[in-house]
Amino acid sequence: MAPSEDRFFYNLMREAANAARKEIGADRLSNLCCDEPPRGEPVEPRAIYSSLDMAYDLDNTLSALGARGDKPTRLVLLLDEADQMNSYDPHTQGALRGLLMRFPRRVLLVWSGRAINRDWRLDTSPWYNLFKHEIRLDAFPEEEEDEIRRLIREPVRGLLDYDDEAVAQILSYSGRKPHAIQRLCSAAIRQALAAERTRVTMEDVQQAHRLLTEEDAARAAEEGEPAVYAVRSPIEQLAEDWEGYQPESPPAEE
Amino acid sequence: MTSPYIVSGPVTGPDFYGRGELLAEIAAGRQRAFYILGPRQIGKTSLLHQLDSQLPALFLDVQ
Repeated sequence: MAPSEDRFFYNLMREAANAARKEIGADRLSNLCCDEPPRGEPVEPRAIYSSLDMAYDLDNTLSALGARGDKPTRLVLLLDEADQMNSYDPHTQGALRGLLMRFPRRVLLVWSGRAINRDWRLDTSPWYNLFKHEIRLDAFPEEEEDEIRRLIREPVRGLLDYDDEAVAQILSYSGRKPHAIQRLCSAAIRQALAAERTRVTMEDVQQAHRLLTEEDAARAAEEGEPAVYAVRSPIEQLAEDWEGYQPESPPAEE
Repeated sequence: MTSPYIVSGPVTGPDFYGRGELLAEIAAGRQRAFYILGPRQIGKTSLLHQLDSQLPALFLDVQ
């Protein structure tokens, strides 16, 4: 779903209401402002729906959910690809923050994206102090190495297995990044299967890495872009992926 | 044999590995908001889908 700024609160609340109705039944949550205007009535959501309407609807929705009488109800809003909201009008951004302030511990926002406007720390920002908990998602930490080994071995358990050296090589090539791990594993098992083996060796992983590197380079060339390898050395990979990364220029010759 | 590894689209459910500490921190819900920041293909969308499957949550793709 791709809400434009004009329809942001409307679409957000429509989704929240639909999710809530699945939980408690449509008859227990009616008369919300976000309910569609009667068929044939060409009413633009922006003209009829604001963050204040959403606050009203949220209050009713949380009350209806809470009426089930078990645990305290909390609604979690997960916004993916939310970088687009950096370009929203500050009033829209501020209105979203206002909503979250209005429902402390009852509405939680989890927003994911590639970059954030660093101004959010300023008291002039509509996001002021909202994202105290910025989480940098990166390669799997060393403490999760057991989880990586499961990610490598579990999907093929009972059919194929990896030599320990092959697993170590995958860890090294991938920089412990989940997508790179899955690409390498997928390519490595093809090598083993082509050789009619049920053990994946370090050589399979090395060959898989070579093929993926060539594949990425060919695709980049086809698309007229500089070659950016999806499977690179950990340091290159970590550095280049980050927004704003600038490769270090070679020292000027004197 | 079709590869069981997931190289496109989000990973969820039993195919999702790791990030346990992070998921627990978010699920504890002691904050109003979290910003999950990271490069492409690092698992941001998968993490949100995993939260969606673990919590009474609403998933929305803003793009």
